[in-house]
Parts: sequence; C-alpha cells; structure tokens
Amino acid sequence: MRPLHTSADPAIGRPDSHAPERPEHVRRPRDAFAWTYRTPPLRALGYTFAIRSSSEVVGRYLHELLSAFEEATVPEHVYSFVERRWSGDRFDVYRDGDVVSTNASASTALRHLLWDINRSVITSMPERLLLHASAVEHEGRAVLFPAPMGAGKTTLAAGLIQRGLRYLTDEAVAIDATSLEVQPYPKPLSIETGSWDVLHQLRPDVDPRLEAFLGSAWYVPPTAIRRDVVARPCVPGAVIVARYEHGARSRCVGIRRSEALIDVAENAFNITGFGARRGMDVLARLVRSSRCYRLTMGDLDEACSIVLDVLGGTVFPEVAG
Amino acid sequence: MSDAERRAAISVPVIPDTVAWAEVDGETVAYDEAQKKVHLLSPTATLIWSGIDGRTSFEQIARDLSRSFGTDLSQIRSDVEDLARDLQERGLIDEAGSGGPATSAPGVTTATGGPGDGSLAKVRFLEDPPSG
Repeated sequence: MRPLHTSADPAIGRPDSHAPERPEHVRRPRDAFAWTYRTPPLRALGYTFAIRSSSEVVGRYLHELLSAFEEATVPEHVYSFVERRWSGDRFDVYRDGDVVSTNASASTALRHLLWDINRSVITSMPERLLLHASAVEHEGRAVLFPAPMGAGKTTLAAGLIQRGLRYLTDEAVAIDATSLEVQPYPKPLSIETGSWDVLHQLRPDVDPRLEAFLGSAWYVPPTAIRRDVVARPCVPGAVIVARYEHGARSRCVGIRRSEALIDVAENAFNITGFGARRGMDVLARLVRSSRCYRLTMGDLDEACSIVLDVLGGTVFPEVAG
Repeated sequence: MSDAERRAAISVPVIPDTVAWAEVDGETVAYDEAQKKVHLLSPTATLIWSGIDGRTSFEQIARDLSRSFGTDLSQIRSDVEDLARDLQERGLIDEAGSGGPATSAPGVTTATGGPGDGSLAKVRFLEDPPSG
C-alpha cells in the first residue's frame, strides 16, 4: 500500500513534537466519527469487508455500487469513508487502520477505494489463478477476454451484457485449479471517458449531491444494467483476445491455442505466487477447454455482433482434465 | 572465446527451475519466472525441448531425432545447434550441473508442423494505484 501523509488533516491535530513518532493509524481517532451509514457484509471472491461512511448519502451510494457483493458473512475488513468536516468536498478513506486515500476529491477517493478492494481481492486468492481479463457467460460457459489495461475489455463486456449475456467480471477472472470453474467477481463496471459515447445509456443516474463522484470513470453496478445479470460459476468455453483499434474494421479470427496460452499467461496476476508450473498447467487446460479467437474492435456494436455470431456458432470443447 | 561462443557451448542442457512450461497442440509455451517473460516454441523446437532432461546431450538428442524421423543427422544437428543458441539466449536452458537442480522434461507428444518460433513479452501485473 502506498503510504500517504495525513498530518495536515485538521481532524487529527498536530502530533506532539516531543512524542515518539507513531504510525498514522495509531494517531487517528477514526472511531470518534459518527457513522451514519454502514453497508451490510460484502464478499468479493475470498475478500470480505464492509464500508461505513460519515455521510448517509455517500454510504448508500457505495452500498449500491457494491450491492452484487452482498453476502451474509463476517467481514474481515472495514473501510471507513470519511467526509471532511471542514471541507465537505474532500474525503479520507481507510481500510482498518491503514490510510487508503486522504484529502481526496470525491472521484479520487472512490477510485482509490475501489482500487484497494480490487487489489485486496487479487492478493487474497492464493488458491485460485487470477487472470487480468473481463468475462461473460454464454450458454453456461465462461467467455474470457484477457487483456492489459486500455484494451477495451470492460467496454466489450458491458456491450455484451447489454445484449443479454451474463456478467462474470470486468477485471479479474478467478479460476479454480481443479475444476477450472470461474467464480463471478461482479465488481462495478469501470467505464472510462473514452467509452462514454458508446455506452452513454450506462451513465449513472445519481443524486445531484453525488455528481462529484463520477469523475473520469463511471462506476456502474452490474445489477443496474439488468437485475439478473450476474452469472453463476461456470467453466471456460472461449478465450477471445480482444484489442481496441481506433477506426479499425472489427473482425474476429480463430487462433492457435498456444497463442491464446501466451496471452493468458501474460495476463495472469498471480502465476508466481500460485506456483508457475501449476499455473501453466491450469492455463494449458483452460485453453484446451476453449475455442480461441483474436478480436480487433473498432466499433463496439460491430464487435459485439461479431462475438455473438462467433459464439452462436461455437461448439464448446469438453473441459480438459 | 567470445561470450556468444561460450553461451553456444552448452552440451548437456537443463531447464532451470524458474522456467515452467506447457505443451498445447504440439507447441510449447514456456514461462520464465525469473525474467517474467513468456516464450513460444515451434513444433520443431518442442520436439527438441522434449528431449531435454538434464542428462541427455544435444548431440544425443539430435541422434535420437535423426533415428526417429529417418532424417539426415547433419541437418538435424544444425537445427538443434541453432535452437540451443536461441534457448540459451532466452535464458531457457543452462548447462547441466552448472546451477540448480535439473528439471525433468514432461512426456511430450510428437509434434507436427506449424508456425515458427515467436513471442517474447513481459508478463504484466497489477497496475499501480490510480492517480488523480
């Protein structure tokens, strides 16, 4: 975690210059705040948490964003989302005793909160192989779009779930090493400014007091697109290596499984921690269980139509043992 | 002897423990944990790679392949030498006995023809925290 200096916070006061330096979280009287909203327990893959907020309207907004994670569990971590009393448009965010963000604008504080949740999810799943990919479900099988940042994987997933497919994730695909089952990680879709035009229907309809949270990304809870949008766990059936290319004609071609294996290996978050040999074995089984394609995306509508056509004509392979 | 010549001098290759690989449809994808790189080996390279067990020399691998496929030894030897240099430059093999424990090659099915060697790319990990 990036340490952030917070001593300018008027809520804390200057530490006694004669006292030994103590960690920031020891000094901060977080529990002195009046928490006006607490989310129910939330589970994102193996990471359990809850969020409390000093502002009810903000707390409800965060709850709505993360409502797909609701689960009756005991949260291991608590985030505190604090509106600064002396400058109401600035926020501090903590995870347990650690500073996540301080004196941040609404949109930055939200971005840091969601980033920290995502980071924590990824680092708390040693038993599953995690791929940097978006994924949707089609005919009971997971369709994976492994890609680095900026390739358009969230935009493509959003387009496909608007067209009826179910949502698994827009960021991290969690694969069970034995069954290859993909567990849904239905985080809010993070739609960056570059995709606002093509996904304008997804612009969050927020309380005017929350406009400042929109910033440079729209965070769209999947259930805002469709109530039943979140997929059940399912095994992979297709790997589509997608890449946005401005102005290009959208096209999708079959590729060798070895090519797909390179892409999934390059986009594995935790292959080292998972065990590289075991990880490569899982990834090889993943591509053997899948039809593999490379998709060039120019226009989103065209790309979605092509993907739906390809998937419609695909007979998925048996899951490789 | 230049560094390049010394590097080419591996006679009994071994795959370092930091390299994990899988064979799919006759091609091998190797992940080098130390360099965070992914490599693709062609079907031909996969045949040679499958003979690497930390005990067998490249010369013996060439002889075995020549016998198995009824191909001219000198041609196969040349291919094996080229591949040995390439693998060594990529850091995918060491001289047996020069470093860590040997890694046994897995059972690999016979490869058929296909595209050539290729991809090198850095493995990507979680991005830095967002800015702004």
